[in-house]
Amino acid sequence: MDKKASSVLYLVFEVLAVLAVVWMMISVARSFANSDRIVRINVAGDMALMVNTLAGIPGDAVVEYPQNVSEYIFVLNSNTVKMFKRNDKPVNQIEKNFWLPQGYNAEGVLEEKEHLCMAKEGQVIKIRECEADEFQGTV
Amino acid sequence: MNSKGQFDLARKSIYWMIASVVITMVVIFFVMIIASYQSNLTALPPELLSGLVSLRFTQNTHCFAYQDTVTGKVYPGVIDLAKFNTERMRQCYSVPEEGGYRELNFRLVLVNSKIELVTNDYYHVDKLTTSQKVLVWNGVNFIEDTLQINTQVDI
Repeated sequence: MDKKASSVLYLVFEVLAVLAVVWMMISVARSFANSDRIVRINVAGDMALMVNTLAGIPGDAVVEYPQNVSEYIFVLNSNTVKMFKRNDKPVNQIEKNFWLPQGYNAEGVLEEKEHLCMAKEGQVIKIRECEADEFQGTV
Repeated sequence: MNSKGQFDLARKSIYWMIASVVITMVVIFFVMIIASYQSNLTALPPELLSGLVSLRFTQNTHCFAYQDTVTGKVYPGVIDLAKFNTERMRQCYSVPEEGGYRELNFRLVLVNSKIELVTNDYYHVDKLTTSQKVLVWNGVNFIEDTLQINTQVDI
């Protein structure tokens, strides 16, 4: 093969290889940046912390989560809180565990509502949509 | 191809063999950096989780908090000595038998009363220790004591 031609071919190949690597790294960075996985992990963790806190106080209480969660579906059961979007693949669902005292139960489903409330009523901890004006007049 | 051309070809081949390995390692390292950054953003301080979980020990009547049997009033921060036993501890906080060592486990010590309770998967690997002044109801009167909460985080 002509030496000049092969040099040009190598040069083209090298440029393509560098572009491929750069594209791959930018793709990885963009996929991490566009993902809301961090938000999901933090919100699900907050839910588990709220359950533990409510289990640790005497009497009844209700607390509102101070963030718009209208994109997500929450499922609360006796040991876990699950968070996902409609039509999510199982790998994208976030699940957090907690351990309640014996006799306590956690239940409830909240589908794509903006305001999430968690209420302790006796020995049951429920997740539900906040009622209108539920916290009006409170400090 | 003449010998110089063959030499060039061989040189380039060796170069790309080494470069491809280095580039692969750089890409993998880059992905690990991003994953590590993500896990730093979602990390939960064990002190926070331990503090919130251990609230129940002194605040919840289904754990050790004293409740007046006549009025029904709950006294948060007051421990009922009659409840401060292993069976109550199991009812108050239990982790699964399988893999329970990955969850928080606790060792509670009433210092003056010299009573110690542990959760079901506690292996004496304390990572956090907090102490708080409490009152203890011994059935007759309230006495001052110190509740030491030792927390075993994921081992």
